Parts: sequence; structure tokens; C-alpha cells
Amino acid sequence: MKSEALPKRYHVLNLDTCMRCTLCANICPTYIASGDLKVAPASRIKLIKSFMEGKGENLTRELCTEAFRCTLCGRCMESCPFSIRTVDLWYLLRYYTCKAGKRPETLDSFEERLLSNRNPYGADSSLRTYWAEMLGISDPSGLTPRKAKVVLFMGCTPAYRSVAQDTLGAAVALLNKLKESWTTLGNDEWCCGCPLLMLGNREAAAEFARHNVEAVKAVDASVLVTICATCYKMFKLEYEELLGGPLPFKVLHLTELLSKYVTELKLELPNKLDARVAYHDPCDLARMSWVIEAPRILIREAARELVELPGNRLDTSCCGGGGLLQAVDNELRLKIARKRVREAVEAKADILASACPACKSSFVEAVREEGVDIEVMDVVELVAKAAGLY
Amino acid sequence: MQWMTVLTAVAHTALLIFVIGVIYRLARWFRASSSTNFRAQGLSFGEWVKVISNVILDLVFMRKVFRSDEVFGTVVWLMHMVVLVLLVGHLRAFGVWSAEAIGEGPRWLFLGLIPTALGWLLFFLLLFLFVRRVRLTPARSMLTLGDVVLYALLLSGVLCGNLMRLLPTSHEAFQWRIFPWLTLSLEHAPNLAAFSLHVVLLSALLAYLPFSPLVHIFSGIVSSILHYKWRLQVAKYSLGGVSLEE
Repeated sequence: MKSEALPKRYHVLNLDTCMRCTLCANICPTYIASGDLKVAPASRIKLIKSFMEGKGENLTRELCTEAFRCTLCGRCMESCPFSIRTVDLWYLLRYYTCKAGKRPETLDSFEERLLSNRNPYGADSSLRTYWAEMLGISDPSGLTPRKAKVVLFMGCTPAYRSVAQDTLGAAVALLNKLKESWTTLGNDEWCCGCPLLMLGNREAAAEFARHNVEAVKAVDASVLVTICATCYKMFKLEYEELLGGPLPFKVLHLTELLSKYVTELKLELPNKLDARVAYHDPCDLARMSWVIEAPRILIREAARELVELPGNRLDTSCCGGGGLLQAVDNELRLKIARKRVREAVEAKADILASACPACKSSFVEAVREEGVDIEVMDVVELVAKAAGLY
Repeated sequence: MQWMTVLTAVAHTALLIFVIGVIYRLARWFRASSSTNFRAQGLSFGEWVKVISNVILDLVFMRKVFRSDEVFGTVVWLMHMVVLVLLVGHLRAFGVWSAEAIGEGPRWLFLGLIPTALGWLLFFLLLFLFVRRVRLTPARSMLTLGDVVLYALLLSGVLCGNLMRLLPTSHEAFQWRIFPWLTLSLEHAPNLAAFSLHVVLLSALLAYLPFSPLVHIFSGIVSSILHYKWRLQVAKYSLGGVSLEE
């Protein structure tokens, strides 16, 4: 791996550029939901500066916890007059906090589980494909690693959390219908490493990245497809920097692949849903990776009506499920998710759809807490339903 | 005349500190490691045009600030424009441009009323921004001693500049040779006390600029260019990548 020296030039330049206008606070989901100044982007800027000026020793663990009360959604970047890449600064802050040993204790044990089980849920790593049995998938071919053109990178949340397993089931059904040459990495799939980056442990994230790339190479795949927005961003934007070179395969989000098939009329959706679907852009997919139209193309084809929520596309509002906020302040995460659910209800949507298992997971909980009548689905599930597979 | 020698020394010192400060900033930036160029993709001419047009929209027209807060956006945009116009106005005193083309009639308007009005407008716009910094909770939480010094220098410097013509002046011509190649020439001498304070305060501001958040005047351009370059590279990568073929 290429040795990494932090901070990088653009980190320093961006920090020096900050005029402290605090426009970022106006749209920060954690600040809006909590009203707590300590979680406003401006406060994190202060923390980074302390670390960079060598005053990190004086910071308490409690204060450093604020670095993790952020969803890493990057909305602050969109409001910054100078387009400071704030998310990179928040990752840098977590890196400093990790190096200084001042992360919240709960995250230390979280990291231990992640490193030993290769997934953030502490589940047995040999059970990564167990979801297929739980869903009663009768034809598991493809789930065991084999030589194939496409690797379906399952992701930890869909593989281990029942709330998102349907998305995996839908993905498998669609790939089979399309007669795609596909496989998974089976139990050889490790977490994409993004939670490790979020924890500030870049070395371990690079190790996970290296492992996954080798595993994909082993099945001779030329394309890796994800259903998770964060895995997608990780593979697409972070792996090359972590590994110091280009990836030997293409990376696609499943919505990109499906929209290609739909627009080329290779995937028919005869059972169009009679529903108004509000689409929530996952931050890592839209703002960070510019995958904006593909999910919309799919929803327009799979349902009666697509409804745009306030704060969409590059300006998408967060679901609350990013940045490991759940591990540090689950209440705040749900507050953010509930606000988004209310927006979907106000838009008179029948379904709230997203293209990320973390978003789905947050929204399912939020809908339960709000007690509202709205279905939460992943766009892939929507397509599978419209295709009559699900 | 001895006082003018002191002022000259102040201006020289400020410029020297400014140059040292700029070198310090550049060294600080270049000492940090460079990042791996994402996919090492270069941009075409057309894409560079897109980058630059977005930077112009953000920095010249302050698109993002307007979107976030219309009142703040208006004040900030006006403040920057007034600063620009006043700086251009100041260049006349250094012989960069001449007012000969302006006839006697509108002279009082263009060389008297408008600059004076803009000077006071700038003062009140700066005052508004400072009050906002103090009143808004997130902004107040970020207020440092450095920011207070910055606003104090700006406000008092502009105030003294405005008072130069309001306080008693003389009708004699005024010249100040700052460098052998740079002379300030005014048709009528300003109020010397206000002028001296104006020079001292704004020299201090110039010296402080590379160490203060005002460095965004330069770094903001770079940071915006880097952002839109990155954005375009990501978009290109995503939009061009939906293919299963090698």
C-alpha cells in the first residue's frame, strides 16, 4: 500500500479557507435535529484545528465524541460558499481522534467486532450467505463463489440484517431473470471497510480493501455490483486512494445496471405498481457519487408516480443512518429519519424508496415510531415487484 | 513630513509582513502531502469551462450564499462588490487610471458623492456582518479573537477612510511617495489624522491578511476549483461507467 501522510494539501487549504460563516449549520441534519452546538460543523472545524496545532492532547474523550455525532452526509459541502470538501475533513478528524485514542469507548468495542468478524454486526463471518436460506431461496447457485462476469457485493447490512435482506433477494432474482453471469464472494466477502474509515482506522480499511479486491480477482469478475450506497462509494472513490492504484474491475450500483437494462428494453416491468413513490437520494450515492438519475428512471418505470422530496439530488437530506451515528447516538439518528419520513408522508407518498440498506433500516424504524402508514422499500425491490419476481 | 516617513515605514513593514505571510501560507500548503489524483483523469477544455463557470457562479455571484440565506447573500455580495469598486477607485490616486474623461458636471457625482456613499455603505455592511457573527449562536461559537481583530481593523479602517473627507481638510494638493515606483497623489489633502489612521489600520490589515480568514480571497478560488474538478471527475466516472464491457 502507498504510504499515506495526513493531512493532505487540500485538507490544509480547505481548513484555512473556512470563513466560519456557519451557513453549513443551517442545513446540517444533526444540528437541525438536536439544536446542539457541539454537533454543528463549525465545532468540528475547531476540533480538527486543535489536532493540527498539536493541542489534541488537551481534548477530552467526551469532546472528541462529537466527531462521531455526524452522519458524514456531506450536506455541509453543498452550502459552503467555497465548496470546502467538509466530509473529507470529518474523516480526517476521526482519523486524528482514533490516533489519539480518544474515540468513544462504544466504538472501540464496535471496531473489535468488526475486525474479528469482518462485519460491523459481530455476526459469524461464515454466515454471510445465510440470508438466502432465511429467504428460502431455492436455487443458491451464484451464492457460492465461482468464475463469473459480475460479482454481487452483498454488503453487511443486507447480509446480516433482516430489514434489508429482501433487497438482496430481489437483487438475486433480477440477476437470474437477466441471465447474468454472476456470483457473490460468499463468506470470502469482507465488510467494504467504510465503517473502518469512519472509525478513523485507515490502515485496517486498506487491509479490508486489499482483501476484497483479491477476492474479486479470484473469481475473474470484470464488474462489481453493490446494492449499498456506502459500499458503492467506498469501492468507487476510496479504494483507489487506499490501495494506491486503479481497480482491476468496474464498479456499478445495481440501480445503474438495472436502469441500463430497462432503458435498453432488456428488462420488462409488466406489473407496474399503482403507487406514488417518494425517492430519497442516499447521500453516498447522489451527493458523493453522482448516481442520481438511474434510480429515478427505475421508479418511473416501476411505479405510477415519482415524487420528489424537499432536499433531493445533490442537496439530498440525510436519513440519519450514516457515519456510525447509530452506534453513538441512536436517538439523534431516529430524529433525523423521522423528519424525512414526515416529509414523505406530507408529500402523500404511498412508498418511501431509497437505494441504500442503511436508509431503509432507518426509515423502517422511523415509520414504526411515527406510526404512519407508508411502506419503505429499496428501489431494487420495487423493480423486482414490477418485474413480477417478488 | 517626518510623520509621512513614519507612515511610509508602516506601509513598508506591512507589505514585508504580508509577503512573509503569503510565503508561510504557501509553505504550509505545499508541505502537506498531495492527494492521489482520483482516477488521474484530466479534464477537457469544455470541462474546464464548466469548472470555471461554476466557480464564477459561486464566487462572483455568490450563488451558494444566496441559496442558503438571501439576506446574508445580498449583504455579502454587496460588501464584496463595494470593496472592489472602492479598490478600483483608490487606484486613481496611484495613477493607474485617470478621471480626465469625466466632465466637470458629473465630477462631483462620480468622484465625490458615489465614493463617499459607497464608503459609508461598506461600513454599515461590515457592521451588519459583525453583528450577525455576534448574534447567531453557531457563528458566535466560532468567533475568535482573531476574527474580532479582523473586524475591528476593517471597521475602523473604513471609518477613518470615510472621515478623511468629512473632517477639516485643506485645498492643497497632496502627495505621498510610498515606494520610488509608487506615489499617492490627491487633488486635495485629506484630514491628516484620519488619513494617517486609515493608512496604519489598513496596513495592519494587509499584514494580518495571510494569517487571518481573509486568506480565503486566494484559497477560496483554489478550493472551489478543486471541488468542481473533483465533482466533474466523479460524475464522468459514474455516468461513463454503466457498461459491462471492458
